[in-house]
Amino acid sequence: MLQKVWRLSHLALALIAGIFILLASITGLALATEPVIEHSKATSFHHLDELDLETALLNIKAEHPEVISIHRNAYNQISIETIDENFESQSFYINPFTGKKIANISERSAIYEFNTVLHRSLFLKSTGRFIIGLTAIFLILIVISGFALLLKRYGSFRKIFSKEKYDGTAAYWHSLASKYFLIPLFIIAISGAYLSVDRFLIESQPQDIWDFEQNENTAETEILELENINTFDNFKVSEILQIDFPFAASPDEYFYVKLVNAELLVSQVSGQAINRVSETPALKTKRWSFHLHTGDFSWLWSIILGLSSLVLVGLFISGILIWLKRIIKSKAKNKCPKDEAEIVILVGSETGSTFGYASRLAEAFIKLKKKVYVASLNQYSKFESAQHLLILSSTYGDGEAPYNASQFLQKLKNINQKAHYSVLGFGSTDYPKFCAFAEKVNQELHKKEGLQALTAYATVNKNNESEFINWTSELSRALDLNLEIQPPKEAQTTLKIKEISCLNCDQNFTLCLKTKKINNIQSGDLLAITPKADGRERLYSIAKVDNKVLLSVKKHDMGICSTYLSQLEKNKTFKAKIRKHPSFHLGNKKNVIFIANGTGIAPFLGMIDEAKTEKEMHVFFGLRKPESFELYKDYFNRNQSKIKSLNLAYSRQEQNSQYVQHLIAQHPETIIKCLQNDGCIMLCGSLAMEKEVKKEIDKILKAKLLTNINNYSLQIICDCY
Amino acid sequence: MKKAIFLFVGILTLMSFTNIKSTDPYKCLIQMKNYSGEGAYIVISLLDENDEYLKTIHVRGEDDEWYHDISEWWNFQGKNKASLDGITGATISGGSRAVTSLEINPDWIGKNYSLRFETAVEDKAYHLDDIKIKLTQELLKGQTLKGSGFIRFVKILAQ
Ligand SMILES: Cc1cc2nc3c(=O)[nH]c(=O)nc-3n(C[C@H](O)[C@H](O)[C@H](O)COP(=O)(O)O)c2cc1C
Repeated sequence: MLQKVWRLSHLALALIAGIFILLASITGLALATEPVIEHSKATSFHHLDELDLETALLNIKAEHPEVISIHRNAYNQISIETIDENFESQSFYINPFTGKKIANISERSAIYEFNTVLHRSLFLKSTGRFIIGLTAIFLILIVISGFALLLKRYGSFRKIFSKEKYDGTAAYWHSLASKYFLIPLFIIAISGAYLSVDRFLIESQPQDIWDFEQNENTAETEILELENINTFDNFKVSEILQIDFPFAASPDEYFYVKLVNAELLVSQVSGQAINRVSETPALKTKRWSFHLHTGDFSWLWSIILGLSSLVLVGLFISGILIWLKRIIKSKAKNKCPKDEAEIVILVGSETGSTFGYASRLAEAFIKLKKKVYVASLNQYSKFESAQHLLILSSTYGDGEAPYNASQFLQKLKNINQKAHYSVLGFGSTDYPKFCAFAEKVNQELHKKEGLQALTAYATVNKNNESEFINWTSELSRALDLNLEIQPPKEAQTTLKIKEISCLNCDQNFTLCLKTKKINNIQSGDLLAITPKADGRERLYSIAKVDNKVLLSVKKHDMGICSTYLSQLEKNKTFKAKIRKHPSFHLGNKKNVIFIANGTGIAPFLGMIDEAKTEKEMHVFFGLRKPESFELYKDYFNRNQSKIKSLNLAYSRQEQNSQYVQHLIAQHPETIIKCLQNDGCIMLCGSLAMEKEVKKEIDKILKAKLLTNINNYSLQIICDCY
Repeated sequence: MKKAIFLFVGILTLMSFTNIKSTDPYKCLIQMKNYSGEGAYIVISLLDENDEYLKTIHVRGEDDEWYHDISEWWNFQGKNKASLDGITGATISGGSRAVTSLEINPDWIGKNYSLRFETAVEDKAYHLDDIKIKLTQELLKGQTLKGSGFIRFVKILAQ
């Protein structure tokens, strides 16, 4: 419930203040460059804390006897005002170490002026300042609610900074950027808001330095020389902001000294301060708010401010995208009313991807003329005609419900429904509580009277398409239907042939392809090719080698797709879809065993190529004949030093014919070491091979560790067909 | 022809003589009070014995869009439209001070003429006689002239 409040307020505040936040971010970004530029100029001095004020004053007075005042700005530029021979007042920058003039004061660039006014008051004077102040206050609330949502998303504060797997979604970027820029953004918002509050409510004013009893003894007294004024001995140039010289050599004329945190009036007669006022706490807060908000005191902080402004623009855009994705995906276009539906699909989804699966499932039912209703888990109520409840839910936080499923378990208790159910959990084995919420839902449904399981509880790891298809096949069987799930709608990518090899003795060949999308591709992803001839989609596991896509294909004499590919020529292009396959990426495990037969080796060639040397990698590869290996030889040779062992099995040679599973049986210690050290075993190739290899691994585990393969199932990752 | 050139040169010489500096330069310190708000517009003018404007001596504030806020002076300046070239400077903000040079004609001194400092701050107030004081020799020797509006004090000295 509370989470809903956070989420809604985060969105509402951002939508209301969005345009002003955008404006302030863009102008803020422009303004952040000013301190960086000013601090890098020759007029900016870095070691003013090493320069005695007295020395500097004498230098200046010697060069410019008519000096009226001296100023140090936040960029550590020292300027003086003096009267020239024509009695005109002149201001310019000086070098305090020599007293010499070094540059004229140029007017602040019109671009900065423009951005400042826009940033501060939108060219609307007080009204604009008020709006901007309000925007800053909104930003504070957005940051706070965002922080609450981050906590919710990751489960606890500690987990926020644990590594999150890259998935390229807006939600990924939104949370990544916000967790790292949370503190700078909060500082920007707080300081900006304080500056407005000070202007409208506090109106902090310095104490009046002139408010003191001036003793009117006008008896001629001697005026001290500059070097005899003791007060100046105590300061470094870095401590002062301004010094006004006495207007005349008379006892009732004083030096006015403005320090960073105090003001002094210094007598020319005694050389002592005759009055001093300190900065009030309100002014101090205002001063620090100003520094933190503008970054004027440090180029480094300005860069952080500039980056934060940029990030804020990005957060706004990604935030809107997340919101749009959520409403578009969750807007289930139900054709039949809720109480007429025979099949009810209930979805728990945080960022909307699970809804994509739900609607593909719903379409398959609709094609079979079934009455389907799709809703979020929180919309659970009694469905009068429901016979089947199909529940698809992801898991968030630390094994918790996604936002639109948070009330489901509560509702389930109070509603009595007679139906069959099936639960499919979406999650990721990167998180310790894999699909914990879906599992919990499954248990609760199991306890509920009137509800009966339709299929076994199943999971989909990292949106693995084949696990989803497997579950739908189970479902088809249980319902005695023929569900045809359409592949997800994706954009086609153009690929250009860079190299195509000849067929080897196994009829295998490799293709090297160039594409603009190469940066989004990782070895292990899938290439979905649909030849026009039959309109059926084929999936190939691909590798990324030298920034090109590498795939290996076996040409079947009757195979439409493989024949089509084998006839392509260099520099020809064709179109295909690239499908992310995060569950089959090379993770950060230290120990990895690659097991493949035939063309299944392709994704591993890329993984070996990109792997860091500290990984311990073993390869088990099944081929037909020693000559078959020629096709892949170069890829292995270039990475020879990285591969701990390369084990080849040949199935069609005169002597010693064997399959890859036989090699596994011969190396039990390699398998055991890998599994016990939290490594992973990756399989790619034929389904028959997968079955045999798993059988061998199971045997090894039973014999040596008195356990079985099910206890290590999360460490064995397959992509077999 | 020769005559014409002679006449021309003669006129030029005469003109340059009349252009001889008839005023003396003074430096003037204006110290503001600690008021909050924008920088103050300040007009220093010379008044005759009946307090009528004679001449504008100095103007602080360069944006003439706001001049009408200094209403009395603007009545005079609006009609007489004398050039303000070379006698303007930036506004002075609360708590700070400025030093300007003033051109004062010795003929004006001791004639019952006055100096007037008129001040105005955006969204705040307008002080017609922030300072009004008879222009005497004494005054030009660094006397402290206390202000009643935004000005804390003014001092004028010969350069
Ligand atoms: C911050 C965060 C926390 C997650 N926590 C878990 C978790 O505890 N268990 C799990 O199995 N998956 C977890 N996941 C993975 C998601 O459940 C998975 O990406 C799912 O496909 C998202 O589906 P959705 O877009 O429909 O919400 C987490 C993902 C993120 C980004």
